[in-house]
Formats: sequence, C-alpha cells, structure tokens
Amino acid sequence: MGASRTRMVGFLAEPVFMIVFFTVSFLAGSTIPYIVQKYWITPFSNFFEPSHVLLVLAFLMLILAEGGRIPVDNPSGHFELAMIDESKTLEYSGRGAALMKWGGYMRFFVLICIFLNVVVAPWGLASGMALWEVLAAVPLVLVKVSALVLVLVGIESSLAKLRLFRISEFLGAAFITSVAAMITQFLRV
Amino acid sequence: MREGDLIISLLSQWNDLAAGLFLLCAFGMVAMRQTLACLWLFIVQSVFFGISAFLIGAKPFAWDLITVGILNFLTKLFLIPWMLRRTVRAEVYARREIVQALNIPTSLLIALGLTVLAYFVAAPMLTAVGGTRYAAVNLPIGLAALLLGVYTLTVRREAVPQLIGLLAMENGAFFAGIAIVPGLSLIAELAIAFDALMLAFVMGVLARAIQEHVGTTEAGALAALKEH
Repeated sequence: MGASRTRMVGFLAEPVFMIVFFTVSFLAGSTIPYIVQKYWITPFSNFFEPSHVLLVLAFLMLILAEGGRIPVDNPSGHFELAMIDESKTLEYSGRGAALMKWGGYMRFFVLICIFLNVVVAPWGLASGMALWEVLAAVPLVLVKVSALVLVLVGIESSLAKLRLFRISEFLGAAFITSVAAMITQFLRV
Repeated sequence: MREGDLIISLLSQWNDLAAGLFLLCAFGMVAMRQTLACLWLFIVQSVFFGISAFLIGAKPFAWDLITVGILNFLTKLFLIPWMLRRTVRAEVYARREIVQALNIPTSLLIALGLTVLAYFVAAPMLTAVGGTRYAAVNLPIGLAALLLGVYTLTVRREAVPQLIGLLAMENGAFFAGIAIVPGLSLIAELAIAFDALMLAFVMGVLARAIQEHVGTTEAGALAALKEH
C-alpha cells in the first residue's frame, strides 16, 4: 500500500522534476551549479525574472510532495487511509524499515540542498579548493537549510492535508507552474 | 542617459515578474474549486494588472496609464468584490466544490495548450504593432489570460465563477492593451471600468434572482426548461 502510494506521488512528481531541471539548465546554459548561480545574480535583475520566480514556486511544491510534507502527506499522521510515507513502516521492519526511513530523509535533504544552492540562494558555496573555504561552506549550508525549514514549518502549520486523490491536482498545478516558467522564457518574442 | 536605461530595464524586469504572477493567477482560477478562492485570485490578478499599469506608465511618464491603474484598484479591489458579496447570497461562497464539465488536471493541461497558442498567435501580432519590450511580455500573457477566462466561462457551471471568468477576460484584454496602445484615450478606460462594474452588478442581481426562484446558481442545471 505504502509502496504503491509512494510510486503514485513519485511518477506524478517526475515530470515536474524534469521540466524544472531542463528550464534551469536552458536558462543558465549549463547544469553545473556554480555557473547557474552566477547566472542568477549577473545582473541581479535576473533573480526577479518571471521564469525564476515560477521555478522557485514549482520546486517548492515539488519538495513538499517528495518530502512527504503536509499538503500532500502528514509525516506524523497515523491515519491509515491517508498516510503515504508512514505506511512503509507498517510494511517493513528492522533494517529494511531503517533503510527506508534513511532513504526518505536523504531524498528530502538532497532536494533541499539542490533547491537552496542552485535556485534560491546562490551564495555561500565554496569558491576554491582551499580547506577553510570548504569548511566555511558547511555551516553556511546548514544556516540556509534551517531558514528553509522555518519556511516549511510556516507552510505546514497553515495548510490542511489534501485528500489522497487531490494530490494529482497539487502536482498538476506544480507541473503547470514549471511549464509556465519554461514558456515565459522560451516563447518570448 | 545610463541611469535612465538602468531604470527602464529594472522597470521592465518588474513588469515581467508582475506578468508572470498574473499568468499564474489565471491558471489558479482554472484550478481552484471554491468560489471564494476564485474571487480572491481575481482580486490578486487585478493587483498585478494595476502594478503592471503603474510600471509601464512610470517611465516615460503617462498619466492615462497611472489613472488606469488607480481606477483598476478602486473598482476591482473594492467595488466589484463588495458588490458580488452583497448581491449574491453567502451560501454560494460557502460551498466548497464547483461543478465543472471537465476535471481539473485535464483543465490545467488544456489551459497550458491555450497559453502556448496565445504565444504563437501573439508573435505575428507583435511584429504588426512594432512591439516594445513591454508589449513582448504583456501581449502574449494578456492574450493567454483572455483565453483562460473564456475557458473558465465555458467549463464552469456556476453563475458566480462564470462571472469571475468574464471579468478575468476583461483583465487579460486590458493587460495586453496597456502595452500595445500607448495613448488609449482615458474615456475608453473609464467606460470599460464602469461597464465592468455594471456587468458585475447586473450579473450579481441576476444570480440572486435565479437563486431565489430556482434554489441554485448552478447554470449547468438550467439548460433544460423543466426539471425532470
């Protein structure tokens, strides 16, 4: 049950993923985060482009869906009809359950890192090979992540969970947002 | 000279942003189920329209565009929502689900197709009007909002969301208009502003009367003369 629900959310989220990354790499002409970061802030007005803002919105909706956050899934809920990520703990036990949990958290963390470092806050990555630069980048990423987590707390505590069959609408809206980002950029006359 | 260029590029960037959010609101109106959420999205869309009018009218300074923005804020932020809330009963807004002829994911995909269509239609029009930077953004997005309004009008089966779709069409047409016609006479703007107001009023009263007689504002159910 949990696996099939996760799969449903997963395959609905996949096109959003692809369009978001296509748009980012088309805009910046590269898939390397450093170049993409450079593109957003040179000139700084690039940061306020409609496509960038729509991208941020689509990516945020994607993180909410993939990370099992509240409008899509309640991470602390124990209501069997509605749970998605939690139901995996009913199906797995022992090391399998631990790996599942770990995988879920890692996915969330990786998504948040991409979101922050590539799209939202293009500052604070190490710019050289020196040891101190790399060491300084770690707490900066942590600061950014905790700021984003505060935003997520705000979103989670102000929204109600969607019904299971509304999730396709939520992700459909995310898809439309990401495609609108692409359209406003590429069909510009 | 250099500073003027900088200001104009900054203004057009902000106008791009307002246009993007305007389009997003139009999509939201297609996707929303609640009547009240539709009304709120219409208000937000009108705010972005007003902002765009202010930005386009700011440099070179154009009084008529600023006036359009102010008129827009007055009517669509306060008068039309107030009128709609007064004329139509509260239970229409309290209802959570709107009946639609098509389901929402399909509607969103069609809306996407309409937007792409608007961009392709706008390309030859832009070369015809000799588009500026503003027109290149506002014309396709205004056209898309117009088409999405038509689509909402077609698919929704409730009176009030249909009316909101009609007003959104008007928003879209004006969004395109402010960028391609620099000196649209103020009289036309005034006429349209009052026209939309009267439209909202008449439709609101009509919806109220229908609700009192039939007990519903669901326009889709009124297609047949007799109830079976």
